[in-house]
Amino acid sequence: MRRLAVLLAVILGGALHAGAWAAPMAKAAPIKGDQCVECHKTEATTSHAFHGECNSCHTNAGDHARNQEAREKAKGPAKPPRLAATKPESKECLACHESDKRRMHFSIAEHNKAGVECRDCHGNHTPKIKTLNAGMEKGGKTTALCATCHQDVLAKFSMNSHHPVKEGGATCTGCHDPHASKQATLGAATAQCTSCHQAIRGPHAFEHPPAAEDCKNCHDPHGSPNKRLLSVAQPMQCLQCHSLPNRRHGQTGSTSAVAATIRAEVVAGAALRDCASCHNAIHGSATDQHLRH
Amino acid sequence: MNAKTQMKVMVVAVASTFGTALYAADDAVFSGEVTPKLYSFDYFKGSGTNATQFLERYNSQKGSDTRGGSYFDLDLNIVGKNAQRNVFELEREGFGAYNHRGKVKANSDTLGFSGYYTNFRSASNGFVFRYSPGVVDGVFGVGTGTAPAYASPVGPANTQTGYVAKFNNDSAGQTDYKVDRNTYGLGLALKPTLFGNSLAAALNYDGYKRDGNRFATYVLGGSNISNAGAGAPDLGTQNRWRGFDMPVDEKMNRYTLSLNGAPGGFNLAYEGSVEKFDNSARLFTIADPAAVALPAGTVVASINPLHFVPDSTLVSNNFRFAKNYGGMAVAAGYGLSVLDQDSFSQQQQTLGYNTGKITTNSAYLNITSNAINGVGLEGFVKYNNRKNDSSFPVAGLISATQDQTLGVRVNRVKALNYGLAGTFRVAAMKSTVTAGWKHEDKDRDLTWATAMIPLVGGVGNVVLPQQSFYRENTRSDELYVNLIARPMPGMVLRVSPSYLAASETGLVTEPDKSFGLKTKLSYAAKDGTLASGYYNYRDRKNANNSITDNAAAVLPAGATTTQDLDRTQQAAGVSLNFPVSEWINTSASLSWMQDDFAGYYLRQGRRRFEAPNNAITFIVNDRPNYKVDTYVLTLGGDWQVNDELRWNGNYTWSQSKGHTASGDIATALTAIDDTINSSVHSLALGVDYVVKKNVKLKASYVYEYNKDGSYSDLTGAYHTLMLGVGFGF
Repeated sequence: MRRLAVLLAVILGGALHAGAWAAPMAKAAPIKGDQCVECHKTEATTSHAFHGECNSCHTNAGDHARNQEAREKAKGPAKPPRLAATKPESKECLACHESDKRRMHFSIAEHNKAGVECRDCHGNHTPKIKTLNAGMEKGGKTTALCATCHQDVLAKFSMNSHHPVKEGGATCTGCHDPHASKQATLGAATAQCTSCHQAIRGPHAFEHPPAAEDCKNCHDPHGSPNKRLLSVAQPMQCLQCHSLPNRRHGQTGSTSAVAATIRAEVVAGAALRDCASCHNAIHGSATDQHLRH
Repeated sequence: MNAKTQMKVMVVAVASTFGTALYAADDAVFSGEVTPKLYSFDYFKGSGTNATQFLERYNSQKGSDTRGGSYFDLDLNIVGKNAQRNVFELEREGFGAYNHRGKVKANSDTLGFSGYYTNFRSASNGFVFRYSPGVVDGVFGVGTGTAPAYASPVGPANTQTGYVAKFNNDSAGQTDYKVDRNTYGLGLALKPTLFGNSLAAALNYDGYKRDGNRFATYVLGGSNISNAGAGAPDLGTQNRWRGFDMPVDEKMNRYTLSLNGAPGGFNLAYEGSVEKFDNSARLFTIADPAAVALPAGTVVASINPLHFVPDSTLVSNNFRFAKNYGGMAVAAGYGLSVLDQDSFSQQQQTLGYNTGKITTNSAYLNITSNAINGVGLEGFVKYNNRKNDSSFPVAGLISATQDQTLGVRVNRVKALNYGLAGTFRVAAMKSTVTAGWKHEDKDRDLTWATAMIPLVGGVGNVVLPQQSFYRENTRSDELYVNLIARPMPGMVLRVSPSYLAASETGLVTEPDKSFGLKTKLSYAAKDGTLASGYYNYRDRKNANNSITDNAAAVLPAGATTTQDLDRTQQAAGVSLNFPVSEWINTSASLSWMQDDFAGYYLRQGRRRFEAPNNAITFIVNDRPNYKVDTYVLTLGGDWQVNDELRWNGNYTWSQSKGHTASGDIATALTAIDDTINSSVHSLALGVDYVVKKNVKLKASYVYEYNKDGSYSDLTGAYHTLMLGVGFGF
């Protein structure tokens, strides 16, 4: 608790001083949208509602327009270098969209911390993914968009067992909110999975602690070479936490406590190949502490 | 809400959607495309009609009665647009008889309506059946997936365990297992303009229905079955391992109210939801399927439920807050969710188990500051408290004072996470460097059946906390660095090393030492070329948790055995998107993933809950290793030949190869279980041809081939041809 108190003091101290250090944001020179449309006819027809004022996103639009005028009037070497219109940064978008409940915490979102700007995913004038390749048609445009950066995750969806994202049965945004932060999640630790898999959420009279705490203790949700999205194949998945008794599992059911006898007992592949065939209530049981029913 | 009421709500909402669209569509221009399609498919290699083919698990076509066929489908895409926005969108896409989706949206200045549905059939339950005991041959050198040696010799002299002697399929005629998931939802958004830009509200309904059947296995316990007939006692034990066809019939309905506004510059949001889950499938007890096929003289005297899935209701209330103070931002939230069990098994009702309840309180506070030029500071605290308020103890069911009725009860799990980070802008290579520290503190309140300990020498036996790897505390600290550099225009380098050390771990799946490294280099050229490569590494170790031997009638105080887990995961890949010309685009990617895991295979003679009256000795049998390599190669191309004709194609090859275990476990398992050796080739070709204005021909061909080197019955192939005509307007 002492460490937490120090941490809070540091945070609050920084917070109190921060306002004094804050610099006012520079404002762009005003410009009418009509002036831009003279050149940018296509962009004008594809603009989103409330985005009619070009300089609300392209903050140097005024300078860009004046630069263009100067370039058109000037001749020869006096022609000034071209000044491109800036693309909007996230802060320009958030000036309007931060009050939206899904984007109100974008400042602490993983994407924002990784330097991803709104414009990297959202195209105001044209969609980022215009057409889909035949291999991604079922997956859809949202999945294709995520896959442009997250190639390591996309590869996992080609493993033997995976959530059917490429097949169209699930989407990236069905589980992940691209505007959210892991530091700002509320609710049960397993809620991300049980918001679709309610049948395993219980409540169970007999809980399996790793399942109650975090589904990722046993499953890799993106993909796995093993059945049922298991991170490690059975029986090793189970045996990392559980020592295997010979009684009920060994061929003769020996109960010896002598090390050499324990080792000598045969445990057949039939018992080792799929622990969940018997311990089938692996996520929790209504009746059995051994999670069998 | 009953089905009729739900239907009424949906009708009103859909009518409202169209009403809004018409209201907003005064000046809208509608355009769209309607595409009738004809599909013809064939599973031309692999298993027969009586078993699920591997490629069917996520691509189940017309059903199990045929391996080929044709059917019509329809794609629909209609958009109504005015100068401000898309006022109406209607889309339907079909990819198979059991894989389609649709959505509808209508928007005005003040209102937004939306609706969606999806249908997806999975046959992965059939895949589970194909691996089930009794179906698989050759395990331990005998003819079935079980081991008859367990039940040898037949007759009263048999003293062997018998649990894995013989697999009994109580639904022997059933081999076709699949589940349909139909999801649907409606949303009404009341936009800020409706409330003078001070408030926004939304009402959402989401639901799904799951139908089908799955193969369910179970094992009868010693007290569940008895027999006095000829051949006892093995007659009973040979019939203990059973499987049956279990229907799936579930539905979920969730109603969500969202409110958010920004009074005085404070962003406030509330989201409350009620989520009701209902299981309408038949509830089985042990007596139901077992009674079908058990030999004469066998008595099943149990009302223990099988695969019991309770109805439940989750009520959630979440509040969020955000405020910017110049260069500083504060984000905070609080959530309370209560999960209640609504239906109880017959056994639970009989014994008085009448409350199943999990309450979760959670909160967070984040403060970030960009007040210092070039420096960003961040601090966060996050809290989560999961409390189990279910009935406890319940005599005869779950009790800390009766033999074999409790392993461990998780009463409460409290997690506190906090950390600090600083982000610094560095002029060199236009870089930003973030250095941070995170701490996790997890406290568990556990009840073990320690009340039995005074009965040592008597009848009481319990799972003792010293003989479990589960612990009450987790305490870890993690240091990390994130580097983002832009060494030249279009190039981005990301390097993120991290190191975690834990003084205590509650589960062995939590690392006590972990080193991770994520790297990615990408380059986007002005001509559209995009090249990238990545390498990820993570090594997680745990040698923190031990279990302790006990002598007969003595509490654990003997030798300790420590689990020692080591898991290394690596992934690397390169990808290139290269536009050959304005009309031709190509792409290629290659990925490699490796998972290398080792841990001790621990054994003992008796089961843990036979202590402390009986001696338990844990031994390290050996150290098996799990190691699997996966490769994925993708090649793609898109060729706009001219304004009318466009070709596109994609080829994906994936291969997973490795072993699931080594040592004694691998010796006991047969190839289908201890070896992974499968590869899938997928080829998709598509062509669009504009015949004339507003008429487009579409065709696609998909070929897939799965080769399984360890379970040859799973080898199979599939192809399908689609022909469609798109009518635009």
